Amino acid sequence: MKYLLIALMAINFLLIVSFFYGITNIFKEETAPKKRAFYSIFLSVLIFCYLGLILITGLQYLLNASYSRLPFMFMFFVFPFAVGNFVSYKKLGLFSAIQIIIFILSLIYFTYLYVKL
Amino acid sequence: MNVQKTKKSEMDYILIHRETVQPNRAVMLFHGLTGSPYELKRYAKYLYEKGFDVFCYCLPGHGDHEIDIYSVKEKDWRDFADERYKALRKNYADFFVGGLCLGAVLALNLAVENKDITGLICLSTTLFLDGWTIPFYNFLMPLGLYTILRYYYTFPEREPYGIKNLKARAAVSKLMSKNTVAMDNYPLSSIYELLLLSKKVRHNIKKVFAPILIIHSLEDDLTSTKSAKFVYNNASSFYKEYVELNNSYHLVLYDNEKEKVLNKTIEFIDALSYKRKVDLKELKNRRK
Repeated sequence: MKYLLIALMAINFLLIVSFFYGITNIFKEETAPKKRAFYSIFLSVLIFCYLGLILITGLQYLLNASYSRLPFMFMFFVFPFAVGNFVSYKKLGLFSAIQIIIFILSLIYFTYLYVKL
Repeated sequence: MNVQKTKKSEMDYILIHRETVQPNRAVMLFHGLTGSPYELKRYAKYLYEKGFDVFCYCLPGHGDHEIDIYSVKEKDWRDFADERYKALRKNYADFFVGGLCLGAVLALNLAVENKDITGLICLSTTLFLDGWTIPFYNFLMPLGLYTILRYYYTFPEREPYGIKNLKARAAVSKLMSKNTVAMDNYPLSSIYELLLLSKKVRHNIKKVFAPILIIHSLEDDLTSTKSAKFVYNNASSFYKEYVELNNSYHLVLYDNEKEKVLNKTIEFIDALSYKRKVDLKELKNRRK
């Protein structure tokens, strides 16, 4: 569990930094489409790992009968898709900020779980 | 023949036989995703020469349209096509609708709602994105499509640009770099909308009753023949024709077998017109 949480925190931290860097530096009109594409793939891989780790950690908690943590795991798993559902191009800035805040909150929560171990 | 070229959008391409008091045949064509009516120009001219009035409109999200490609929704495409169809249909006895890629999907969707379409021409219909140039990391696509990433990610256009013919490919590549007649990348958000529309069409395909001509290349780089076969096997049309091309990629109107596409289109249209004449004759005989 310890290593799972460390991996989750690391990926979570990477996601926050990469998202922030992407929004401020990469995802701009003047950036070549190829560069934007590669950066998006990198972010997709990070999100893939993040969601995968949440699933595995959630499963571990389920097996250990730590049911109180499951709603949080579910919430952090679903949030990226919820944001994706409501986002529009006009409100991209706002939803990007919301997405980053959610990643920060999840990092805080996983750190809390790690400390509680 | 006197050609009247009206321009509602700077990029609309419209060819009307002005000297005919009441033209009886028309074709409305829709271009592909991130394309423009330019890609249908040669096809439109050919149909015009065969006696059709031809309407190629620049779709929302493309060209100088007020909705840009990042904000466009599949509903915008559907509403646009429906509005143009309803405005034109009453003026013609025979009205064909067709398109390439997204245009073909849009034509099929129009046929779901409108049962008075004379015939459908579906070129490189894109109901599934499963062509051979779709990258290996395609399994990550849902993460892009259903999260905020869809507004960040763009697929850069790259070789072979949907064209097998090297000469045509070089010409299109040159035009694409200018970003005027076609964009050099596909925003993932627009692909998301195309997939939503495709899903809708797949769901309603049984409601398509108009005769269909389906032309698809075996080597299509964006969408395999699965899409064409799906339409052929599931549409309820009484007349269906499926033509497979052996030496082309996605942009069949520019590739090695473009002549075949033109000829098959005319054959299809004439067959329907012939059938219509026979039906009218029978009707008259019955009345007598």
